[in-house]
Amino acid sequence: MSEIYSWIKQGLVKSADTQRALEVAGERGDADGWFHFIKFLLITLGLLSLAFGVVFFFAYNWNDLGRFYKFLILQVLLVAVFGLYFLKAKQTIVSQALLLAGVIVLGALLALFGQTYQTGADPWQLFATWALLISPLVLFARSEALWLFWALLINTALTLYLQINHSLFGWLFSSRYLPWLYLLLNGLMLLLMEWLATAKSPRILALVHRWAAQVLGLVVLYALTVIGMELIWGNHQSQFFNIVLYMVSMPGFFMVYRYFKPDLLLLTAWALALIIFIMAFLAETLFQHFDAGGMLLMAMTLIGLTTVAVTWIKKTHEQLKQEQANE
Amino acid sequence: MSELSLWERLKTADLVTGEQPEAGDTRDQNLWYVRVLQGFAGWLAAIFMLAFLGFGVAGLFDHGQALIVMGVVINFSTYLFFKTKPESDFFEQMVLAFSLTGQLLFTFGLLILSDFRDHEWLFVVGLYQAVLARVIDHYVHRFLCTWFAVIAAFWGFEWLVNTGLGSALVAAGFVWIWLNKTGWENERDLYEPMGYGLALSIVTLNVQSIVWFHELFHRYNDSISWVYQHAPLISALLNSAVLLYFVYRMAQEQGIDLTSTTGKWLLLAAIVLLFSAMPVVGLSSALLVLLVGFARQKIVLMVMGALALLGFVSWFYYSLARTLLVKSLILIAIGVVLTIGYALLRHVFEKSGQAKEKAESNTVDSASSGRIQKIAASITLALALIGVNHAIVEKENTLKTGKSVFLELAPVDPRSIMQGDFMRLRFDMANKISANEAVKEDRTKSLDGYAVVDVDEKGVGTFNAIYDNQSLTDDQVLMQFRKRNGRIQFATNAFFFQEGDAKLFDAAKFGEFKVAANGELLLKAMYDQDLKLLGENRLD
Repeated sequence: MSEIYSWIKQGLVKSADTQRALEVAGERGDADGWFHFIKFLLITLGLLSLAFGVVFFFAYNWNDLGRFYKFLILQVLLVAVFGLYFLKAKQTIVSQALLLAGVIVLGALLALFGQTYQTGADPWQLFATWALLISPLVLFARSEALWLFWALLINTALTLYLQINHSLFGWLFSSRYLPWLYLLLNGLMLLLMEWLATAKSPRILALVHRWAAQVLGLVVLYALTVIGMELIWGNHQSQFFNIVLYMVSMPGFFMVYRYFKPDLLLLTAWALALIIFIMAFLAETLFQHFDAGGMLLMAMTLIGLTTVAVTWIKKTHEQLKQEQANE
Repeated sequence: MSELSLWERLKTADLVTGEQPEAGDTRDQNLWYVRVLQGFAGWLAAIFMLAFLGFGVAGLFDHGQALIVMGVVINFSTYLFFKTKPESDFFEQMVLAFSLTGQLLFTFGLLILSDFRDHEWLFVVGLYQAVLARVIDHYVHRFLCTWFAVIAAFWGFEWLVNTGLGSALVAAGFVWIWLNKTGWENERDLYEPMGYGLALSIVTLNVQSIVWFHELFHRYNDSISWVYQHAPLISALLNSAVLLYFVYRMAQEQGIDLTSTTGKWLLLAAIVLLFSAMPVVGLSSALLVLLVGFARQKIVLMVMGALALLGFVSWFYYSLARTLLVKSLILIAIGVVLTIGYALLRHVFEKSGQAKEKAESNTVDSASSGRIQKIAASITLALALIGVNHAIVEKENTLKTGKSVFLELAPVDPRSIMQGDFMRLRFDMANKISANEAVKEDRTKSLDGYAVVDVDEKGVGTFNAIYDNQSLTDDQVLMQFRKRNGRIQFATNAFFFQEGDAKLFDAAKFGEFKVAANGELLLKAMYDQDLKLLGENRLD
């Protein structure tokens, strides 16, 4: 990509054509691109701003406005947003922005109900209901952003639920097994996202980009790292499952993202997770008899591990480029 | 996008002629996440090194001057090392970590010298970081130093952050670098990491504001300098100037004459955008990162801009300068303006707009997708409306026709539990339930249950037992309770009243609950000891 700049500097492109050349090279946005982008920005920011404005308004909890009026306003707004969506479903930019705004207003409606009728219901119920209600929407809207938002809602509901109850569906979980739940939850969603982004998934559900899957991949790595930490620092009695889980998942993750669905970003994150694990392991043994030399050892080990990781990533990058060229 | 196809494409577009030249020395294109790895790991290693020095070398941290000298020596060696452009990955990472250690030593040295007072020494740190960023020729190092320089410089002066002047200044630098200085090979390694460093600074400044704001209120209430007073205005002007400059440069690149129709619309749009961004700190800087990201086709910048915008929204929610009502109106106004802008844009450029729409609907999959999406959306809407309204009707019903049960308040000084315009209640029955064997066992375990309550002829309820599927007599009702964090709750135990009525509720002795047949309850009103109504719970 930097070739274009050196070519321009060498004078191979006339100065009047520089801008055009840069556009062709993908280094500058062209007129159509700008038009599209500005439209996208205006409508998305505009609708989101409206939606957040509404949320702020009801968070203010204006006492002078009767509760029936409040419910009426929100429901009218909700219907209006969805109504507009039905009208404009063919135009991708506007419809996706409308859906996002609609989802936010729906959340505001649920929150208003909880705020008004002080039933003492637990907070997780709001998020769980919200996630449940928008499920059909998220499934068919083919929007990575909505999927991630939905994943966020479910994770939040789970976290809030676990603050109150230590069991789920009758299985009792003490705190050290909690990461498993997150791993399971996000792992399943990751699989779903990856499947949806492939060419084999049904057209009405398919996702165009993989970034939702990538974000979930990072979350899964985080959960795995927490399990790894638990493995090292936790009570050594019942670590069997943790060991199995970690020893199976980490290599598994690597195999998937190196050979099955090559993704350098996730591989780099995986390398970082592994480095953290190794460093934590080292720290645990070193802290038994703490001294300054241990710190130096940690520093040098870290530097060494990082170098190995960086070299490996660069090599894999080249390999992947070769493999792609050979296809 | 291999080199060959790019040259071919340029040839097709008539922009170049002849043979493609040999590939020059293309520097290693490190991917951004690899750089993140290097930066993060380097920084962590530096902390370990510092710990090693701190614990290993006795008395090192007593002498500020020694630390400063050490730091500068290390950084100077770093400069020499990177000037030679080494090939080894290992030494590169090691020297990076060492250099960061040196910077930490320098910072600690200054901290000790200044006797831990004031924040002005942070400005010196910022300056030092800026020098390092300029001088040391390593991509990740430059990026980190730029970022640290901004953080350090602004940490000493929180008001810069809070009034938006900080992010306006950084945004100005950011725009200037990205529009003018990047891309050209030699200077790329100098300016690009700085550009990214400034972008990250804008994002973190937006997020940082939440935390710093509270300090501000304590510090600067008395001493208000001229700059501080006018900082919001200055920052607004600066932001406007930067945004206008950006628009001007974009118009230049795209060959749009600002006096033409398109040009005038562009200016109008910019001015409208300006007014939208004015009342809200950080919005325009975040927007600029997003716009510049698109202008230079850098996805990382665009994502940073989007994150900065989100950070800004949550900052905005918590900022104390205005009430939520005003803030909501501001957001709604901005939303309306932007939406109108969108409609205008589509209308004015209808011709090209139509062509784009056609292209769009062709890329969207065939008609069935639209239909199924609409059905799914209708399901969501229908479920939501039906569900919520059903629940509302149910609750209102309970309030009107539910059985009235009066629960006695536990003898607690009511003034201690009044908060503004609502009162926290503790019911005597809660204590009885807590004492009950079945509930007592696990303090922290949460529990949901029903109490069997005897209701006398006046409507006062007394605790009978925990519900265990026993049959109830006519005088008994079920009342739902929840045990959360060791406390028993009936609904929420919060009673809202009109502001100023607090005195009235000093005499409160009974709370009236409306109980539904299934045990669900809502708190309706407060009564005094003679069961005379004091006031109803404000649900609005």
